[in-house]
Amino acid sequence: MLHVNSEGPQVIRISGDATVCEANTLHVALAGLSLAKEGDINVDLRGLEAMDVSGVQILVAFRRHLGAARVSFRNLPAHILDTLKLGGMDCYFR
Amino acid sequence: MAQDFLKSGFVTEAEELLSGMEDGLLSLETSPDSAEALNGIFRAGHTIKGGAGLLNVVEIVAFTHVLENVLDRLRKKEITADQELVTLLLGGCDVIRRLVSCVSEERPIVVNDNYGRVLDALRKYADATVSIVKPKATVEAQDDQRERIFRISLHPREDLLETGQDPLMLLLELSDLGEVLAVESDMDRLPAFAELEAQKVYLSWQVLLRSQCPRRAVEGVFTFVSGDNRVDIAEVMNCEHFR
Repeated sequence: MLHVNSEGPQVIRISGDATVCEANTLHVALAGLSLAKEGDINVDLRGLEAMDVSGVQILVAFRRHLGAARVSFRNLPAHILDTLKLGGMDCYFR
Repeated sequence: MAQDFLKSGFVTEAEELLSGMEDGLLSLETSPDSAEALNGIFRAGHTIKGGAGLLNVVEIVAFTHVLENVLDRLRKKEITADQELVTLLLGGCDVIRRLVSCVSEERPIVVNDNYGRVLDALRKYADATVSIVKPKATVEAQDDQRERIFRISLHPREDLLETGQDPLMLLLELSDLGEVLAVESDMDRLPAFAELEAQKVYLSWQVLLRSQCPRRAVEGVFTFVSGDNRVDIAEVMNCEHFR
């Protein structure tokens, strides 16, 4: 089960499975957040349990949409980072 | 035409960066802890890797990937720039310069024994945990166990995930066949967030795999995703003397 919550206009928490089954939910949820127009946005991924290519694409596109320099991905679990390294995609989450 | 422009820009920039790296490395002989020199050398290596990636020169990408890991450890003071390491890194610059000259002169890139020797020596200094290198899996005895390097390009269909296949699982299977020297993902086709169709696959991958498995074993990984998915597998060298 995927959960997307914002804590104020500058912190987003994503937990659960960011996989193809939840891809539309993740996309719609992120699009519907009310976020600050300026300043940093922190995306806390501590509770993420799984992520496939669909989740990676959505998060990278979201970051580009808001301005890559503004958005930081935080607390990516080690097992997901290992998977991203395998696919040469860890660089997008630094 | 655009590719020629990119290539020319890459060659000019790489030659300048290599000269800067060599100057920086020589300065480490008197100031081994110089953060300015170490950061400059690291940035130069990183930029060369990025340019090589744009041109799809995987041999340079694979080499600079390991070099970058060593330089990162130096920056973090996990290892020291002693004379032996400085000499090795200067040797690494020579290897890259030779590969860049192949690009410049439009000659086929052939990795030689020196490439493998320097790469293996660098690996001893690189942090294994930041590398995507995995231990070699035990493979069943094959008729022909000589080592090979395969360059694999994977351009999946956009609906691959909807068929129940996951590109990451394919990459995991590949890594079980040997040692992944480099993997690069390409996000160029990723649309803007608003236009994104969440379940489609827009990424593609390039993998450099060192393996003792025959080509048919590599092809076997993609048995269930052939058809409209574009998978190109090429044996780029015979590496009996690579290690």
